[in-house]
Amino acid sequence: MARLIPEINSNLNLNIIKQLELKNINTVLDFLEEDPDRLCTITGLVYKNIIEIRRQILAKFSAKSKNGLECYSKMLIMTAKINTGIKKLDDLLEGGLLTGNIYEICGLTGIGKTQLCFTIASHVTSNLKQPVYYVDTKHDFSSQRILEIMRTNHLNDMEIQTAMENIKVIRVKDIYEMTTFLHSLGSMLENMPCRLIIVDSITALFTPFLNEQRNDGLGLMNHVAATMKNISMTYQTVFVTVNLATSFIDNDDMDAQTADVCWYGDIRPKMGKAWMHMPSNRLLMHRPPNGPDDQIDVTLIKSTDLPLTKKCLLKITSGGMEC
Amino acid sequence: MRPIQTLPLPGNVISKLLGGGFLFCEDVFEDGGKKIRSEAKERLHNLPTEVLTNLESILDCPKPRTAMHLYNEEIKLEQIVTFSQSVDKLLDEGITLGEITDLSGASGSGKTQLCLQLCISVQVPRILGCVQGEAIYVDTNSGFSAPRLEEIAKASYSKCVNAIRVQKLDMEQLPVDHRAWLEGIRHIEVQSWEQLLATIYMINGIVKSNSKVKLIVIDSLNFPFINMENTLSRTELVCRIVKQLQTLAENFNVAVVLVNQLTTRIVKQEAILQPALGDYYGHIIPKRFILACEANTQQTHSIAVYKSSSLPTSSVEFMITGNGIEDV
Repeated sequence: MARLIPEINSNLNLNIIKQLELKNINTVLDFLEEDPDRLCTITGLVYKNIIEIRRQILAKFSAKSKNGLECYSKMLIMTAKINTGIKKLDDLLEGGLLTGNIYEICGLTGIGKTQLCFTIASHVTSNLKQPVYYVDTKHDFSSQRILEIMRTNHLNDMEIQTAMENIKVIRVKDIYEMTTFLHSLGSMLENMPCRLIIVDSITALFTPFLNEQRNDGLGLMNHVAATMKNISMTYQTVFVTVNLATSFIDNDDMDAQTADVCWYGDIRPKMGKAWMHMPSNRLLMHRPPNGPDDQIDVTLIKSTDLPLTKKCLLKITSGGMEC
Repeated sequence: MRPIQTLPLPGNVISKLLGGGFLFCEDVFEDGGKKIRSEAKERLHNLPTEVLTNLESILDCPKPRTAMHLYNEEIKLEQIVTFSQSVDKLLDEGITLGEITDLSGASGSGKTQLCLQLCISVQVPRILGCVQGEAIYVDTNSGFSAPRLEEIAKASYSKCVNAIRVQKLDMEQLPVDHRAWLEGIRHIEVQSWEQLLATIYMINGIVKSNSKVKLIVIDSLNFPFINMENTLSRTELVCRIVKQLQTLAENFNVAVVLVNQLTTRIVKQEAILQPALGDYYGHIIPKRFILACEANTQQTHSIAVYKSSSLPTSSVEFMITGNGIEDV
């Protein structure tokens, strides 16, 4: 709440707010920046009241401080590592996905990014018995495939039903709906605690802004990223996002010229440099050129807490991603 | 707090709100986004009333649905058969309604033939387990051939007559002759990408007013964009078309088939053939199949799963005969 409203202080009635508006003082920030003496003359309130309002605004709107011990003990209680159910991947991640982080799975089209998401979602809901939010932006969530994965892993019908009730799919059309979802996610998580949110894919939301001259798309993308970070820290959840990678080198594309962002010669994540910094951990899926067709290399190429360039070999089977 | 710049509103509404100190959604809405505050209404009072009505539903969040719920919906989806059992098996019973399917392949690989067959198959009556709908064929590269369509219709019609006779079903369900099936296909010829965009809007209207349309074919999607130099704006337009068709497919339970050609891409000084329209397009379409012409004496064709979230990778062979698409 940034606008001045009567709820802030009993002295701040609608009349006074009208007066302030005429002088172009609309928001709490405008109020704080204005000289108290001048506020006295505009509002007709006494100096003491103005100072009181200021103090209340500061108490209500500023960030609160916590001591280090509080933070530490909260972290000990709240953080968790969610294992993915894929042994080699868990070894690579030293236990699993760490809460409070954003992970990114990137790779070329058709490599198996969505399959990896399905496998993780199936494992978390069936074996760990935890709910999962699955944000589907490309309209390709396949519950029949989820069923196949669970059947192959020898679950009985009852278990499958409970697990599939626990995967909550949200079909999102555009980045605006995504933002709305993220802003209502807080209250959803309070009603139903959930540690894993899969976003498949973030890239599809960005396509309408590819060719725009203004930077609206970038602003929206940053807002989505910031909100995801905020939620992941406050509720200690994991976000797994899917991003496309490309090997295409376009003359207009300056990113391609800088070799330090490419892997395997020319593969690099899409969505530009700003996004490169958003996820704290990034996994690159790649099919080795000389290996068998079904083998997929998963490499950790960005991480805040784990050693880099560790890799593991996975393959897609009817039971999902396996070693 | 959500900045109002993140709302899908026109620039003038946003600047009007910002000027009045409405920086966040919480300043404009109360009750968790359900109601617009009276101050905000006052601020926007001299703008058209649509702005306010639009604003009321702007914070509606898509509802989460469980995978179980989606499963029950998914198994109800119907398919359009191809008249080739092996191809149907690969496609998981056929081309699914309510979804977008991409068919990529080099010239002569049988893309258009498959599409013509689908335009006929979609009209096969319900008693034979088909959808009994109509088709819209958007032709961008003049590949549509009416005589060939008539040929396929004739052959498919006699197959249906046989099937009905064998299963002792009601012959009345079938139209009197195969020409009726030609009437069920709307052919739209498109010359440029501007026309294509307009056509998509027009199709929206047709499908809304005629619920019998169950198949939309765009043959081919990449052709109108071939001369476009700015690849980014091409990708943006193509993605926008896909988004619109996606909504259309989902809301009206229509199958959308996008035909795509192959293009040469230079990777590490080597030329390789790839589906056209780039990575972003390849990423946002849920299903892609590649068609190819096999180099053997029987002149068979093959179709392979290139990308799908539900089907395993596999490929089968089929034949293009005078009768349309058939098993080898």
